[in-house]
Amino acid sequence: MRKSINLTPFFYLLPALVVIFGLRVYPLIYAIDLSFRGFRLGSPATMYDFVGLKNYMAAFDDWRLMLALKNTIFYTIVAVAVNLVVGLTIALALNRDFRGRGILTTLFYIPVTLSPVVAGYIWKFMYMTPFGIVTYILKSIGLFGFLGIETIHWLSDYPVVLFSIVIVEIWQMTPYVVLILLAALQSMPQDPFDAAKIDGASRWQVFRYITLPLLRPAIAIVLLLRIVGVLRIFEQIMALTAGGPGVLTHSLSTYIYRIGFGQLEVSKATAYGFLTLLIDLPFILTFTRLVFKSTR
Amino acid sequence: MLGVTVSIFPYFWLFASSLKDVAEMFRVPPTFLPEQPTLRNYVDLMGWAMGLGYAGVEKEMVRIFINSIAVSLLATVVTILISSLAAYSFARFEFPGRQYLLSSIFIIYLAPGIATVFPIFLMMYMAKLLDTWLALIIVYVSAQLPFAIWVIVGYFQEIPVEIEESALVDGCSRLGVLLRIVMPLAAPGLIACALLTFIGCWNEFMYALVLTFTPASKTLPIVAAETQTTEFFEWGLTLAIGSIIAVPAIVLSLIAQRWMARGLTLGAVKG
Repeated sequence: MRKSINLTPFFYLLPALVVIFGLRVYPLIYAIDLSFRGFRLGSPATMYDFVGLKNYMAAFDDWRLMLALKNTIFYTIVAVAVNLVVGLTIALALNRDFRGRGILTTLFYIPVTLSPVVAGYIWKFMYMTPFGIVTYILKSIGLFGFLGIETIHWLSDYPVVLFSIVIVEIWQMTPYVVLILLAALQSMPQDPFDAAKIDGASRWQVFRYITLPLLRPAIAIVLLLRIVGVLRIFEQIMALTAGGPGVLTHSLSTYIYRIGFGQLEVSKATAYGFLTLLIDLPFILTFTRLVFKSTR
Repeated sequence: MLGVTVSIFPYFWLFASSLKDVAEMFRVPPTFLPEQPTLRNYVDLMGWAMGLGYAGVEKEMVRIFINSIAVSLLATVVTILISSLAAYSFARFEFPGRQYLLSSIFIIYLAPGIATVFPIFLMMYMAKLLDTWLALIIVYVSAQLPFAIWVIVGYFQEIPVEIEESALVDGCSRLGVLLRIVMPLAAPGLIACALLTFIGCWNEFMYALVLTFTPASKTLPIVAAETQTTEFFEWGLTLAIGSIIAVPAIVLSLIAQRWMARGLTLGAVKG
């Protein structure tokens, strides 16, 4: 490594820094500034004056925001948990060689490459009651008869719709989790496993005492990655329900979007957005610290 | 663990069924049978999507398709260029604040988009850049840059320094080293990164939604959303457009996987 005391490195960095600063950092500052003002889109400039913490106070009175927060927490916890458990299971399964593994893995990974919007619409199509496949299949298994109900409106019956949404997120991102965990599994040292086999440990013991601890860093990364990812869930919900019925399925992102571009209350929206950022922040920071600790 | 095979097939089947469903057949109430003659209906549908549907859709669709490709392509090229420069700096130079800067970039990358959409909208509005390619391109570059830098730094670090050192000794400039030695050597990784960046831009929805208004610059995902208004759901169109969006993304990501020999967890952050 050459030690450069001159400014060369900074010239190389310059374009990147300009772009990042101009389009990420500055807007953030601008947003914070906006959040202290009473700005509405399309209003005359006189609305653009300082109102202090009014928008932030409004946040705590806004039951819809609280609902969106609750929803988002729900989505995040459920999606991440299922992602992890299912992902781990599948990763373990894919860890051994079997015929057609490559193809299977490739096919399996497809949902991740989709635009979340497209994934949302695919599922919406499958969920919609008059002609949805989901209902059709479950009906043919006889699930409805078993539960004694006529049918389920996956996208409009209240508690159900939350799960419908989460399933889309899980479907889309589990392969991603699998990929990361699989990579981790495949780079694990062989010795502990050999030793365990010699000592006659059972499958479960191997898993619990060797595999899991070795996987801990990877699991941590997956956890944080997904938490940060699901907290901002937007496109799928827009595609599936647009926040509806009413406002019942809004996530933080979709609700804030509505406030800003639907109600044109940009200042309120930026205030809410900043609060969302604050919620994200602990996870973002933890994740960053984790990543930088392991890769110097 | 062959139960895994069972669980994997639904995913594949899911996607296949979306293609099958791109047909008029879905109008059959109340039950829905997935086995239909598929491709012919799909082609018919594409004809429908391009010819009929709503007024002037055909020309618009072509334009919109071009928008998506152009914006994604340009954004990708610019991103790779800028991030290569920056990555080179991180990979080869020691300078004060290096770690700090790298981690800051990482943190900025993870910030949720919703926090910056409004100011960006306003900024673009004031710069009269709304509804242009340029707006989308620079926004996408800023969004993809940190990830690209992260990944490319990894690839650059794999390249032995000696090669560069000898080139420098032979009188090559630093920039020359980057362009003529490092980048070609890192080409597989760069290509993989480019493909991923392209896919990211191609699929993007939120910023496109906010920054575009007319077919002058709308991208495919937005149009897909428009086929589902509050009055009617034009499923045929939706799924057709959805497939147009999905197929290139899938193909490109498969290609990208081939190019990514290793280093998968080098910077596996997805927004």
